[in-house]
Amino acid sequence: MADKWELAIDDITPGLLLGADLFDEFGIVLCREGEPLTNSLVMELRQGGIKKVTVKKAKMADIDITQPAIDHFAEFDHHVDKCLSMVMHHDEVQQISGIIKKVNRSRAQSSDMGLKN
Amino acid sequence: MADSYATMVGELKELPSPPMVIQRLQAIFVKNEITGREIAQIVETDQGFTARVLRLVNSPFYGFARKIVSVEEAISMLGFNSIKQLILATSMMNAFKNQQYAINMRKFWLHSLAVGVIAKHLLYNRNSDTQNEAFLCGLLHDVGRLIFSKMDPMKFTAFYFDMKSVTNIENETKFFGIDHQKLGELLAKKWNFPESIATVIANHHTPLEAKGHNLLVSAVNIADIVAHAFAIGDSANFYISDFYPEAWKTLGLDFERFEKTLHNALDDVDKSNETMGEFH
Ligand SMILES: [Fe+2]
Ligand SMILES: [Fe+2]
Repeated sequence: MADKWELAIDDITPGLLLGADLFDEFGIVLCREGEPLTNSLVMELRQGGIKKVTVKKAKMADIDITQPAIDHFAEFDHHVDKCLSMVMHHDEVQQISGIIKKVNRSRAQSSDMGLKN
Repeated sequence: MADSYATMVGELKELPSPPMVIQRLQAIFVKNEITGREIAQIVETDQGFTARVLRLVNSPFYGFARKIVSVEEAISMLGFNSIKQLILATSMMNAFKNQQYAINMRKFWLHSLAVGVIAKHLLYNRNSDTQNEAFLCGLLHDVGRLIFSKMDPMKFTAFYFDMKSVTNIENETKFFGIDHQKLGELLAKKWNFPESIATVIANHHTPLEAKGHNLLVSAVNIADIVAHAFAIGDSANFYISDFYPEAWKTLGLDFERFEKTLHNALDDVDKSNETMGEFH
C-alpha cells in the first residue's frame, strides 16, 4: 500500500487514479484499478454508497486533470433532470423540478454543506 | 418464471406472517369496546417491539413536546386509530429486519421514511389522523420490493440493478409475473391492515386506479417522486416513469406552498437517521 492512499470519497480530487478494483456490496466490479476518477464517476460512487476509495499516490502533475472542480449544484440539477426526464413534458413537473433545485440550493447555502443527499 | 411467481404469491407461502403480538392485537381490534390498557398489555409482552413503537412515537414526525414513556400514554396522545396503524407498521418493518436482501436496507428505509415524511407534510392542512396515516403509508409503500428481493435476490438484482432499464410497473409484471404494488397489497391484506394503507400500497404508482383514499394515494405518489428527485435513500429504481396531474391537483397545493412544504419535510428527514436505525 506504500504507493497508495485510502481516501474518503469526499476528499477525492478528480483526476486521481483508482488504486484498486472497486466492488459494490454484491461483489460486482464497479471500476478497475488505474481508471481515472472523474467528476461523474465520483458522483456515481457517492450515490452508490461508496465511502472510501483507494487511489494511487501520484504527483498531481503526473495526472491529466481535464475536469473542472466538482459543482455540487450542477450535479444535483443533472440528477433531478435525469430522474424526471420521462415526465418532464408535464408543466407541473417542470415547476416541481425548478422548486426542488431551488430548495436544494437554499438548504445547501444555509447549512453551507453543498449537495443535500 | 412468471407462472412460478404467480403460484408462489397466490399461495402466499413466501409472505411473512404477522407475529404473535399482532395476531393477538388483531383479535381484540375487532371488538367494539377495547381499552388502551388492553392494547398496551399485549404490546408490552414484547419488549423489543415496545421499544421500537416508542421510538417512532418519540421521533420528530409526531412532534410531541415531551417524551412518551409507555404504550398506554402513546395511545392517549395519538388516539386509538393512529396507534393501531403505527403498531402494525412497526411490526411489518420489523418482519424484514436482520435478513439478507439484494438491497441496501438503510437506504431502502431512508427512502420509505422520506416518502412518509413528505406525504405527511403535503397534507399539512388536514387533520393529524390523516397526516399520521400518510406517514405510515409512505413508510410501507414499497414493501413489495422487499418481498421481491427476498424471494429471488438474483432476479431482483438483474432487474433493478443490472438492466438499468425503466423499472416501471408494466416491466415488473413482465419480468416477475406480478408488480411490487400488488405484492405489497397481498402482504397488507394477509396482515389485515386497514384498507387505506393496503390501497396506497396497491396504487402509489397508479393513483388513478385507486378505489377511494385518493388523498392518501396522491400524497404518497407525489412524495415518492419528490424523494427520488432529491435522491434521498434508494428504493432500487431511478427514473420516475409516471406523473399524474390529477394526483397533484388532488393535493390542492400551490407552488409557493409546495416550496415551504419541502423545506419543512426535509428538516424532518434530516432528523430521522436515529429513528430508522432500529429497522435495518
Ligand atoms: Fe413503488
Ligand atoms: Fe418508492
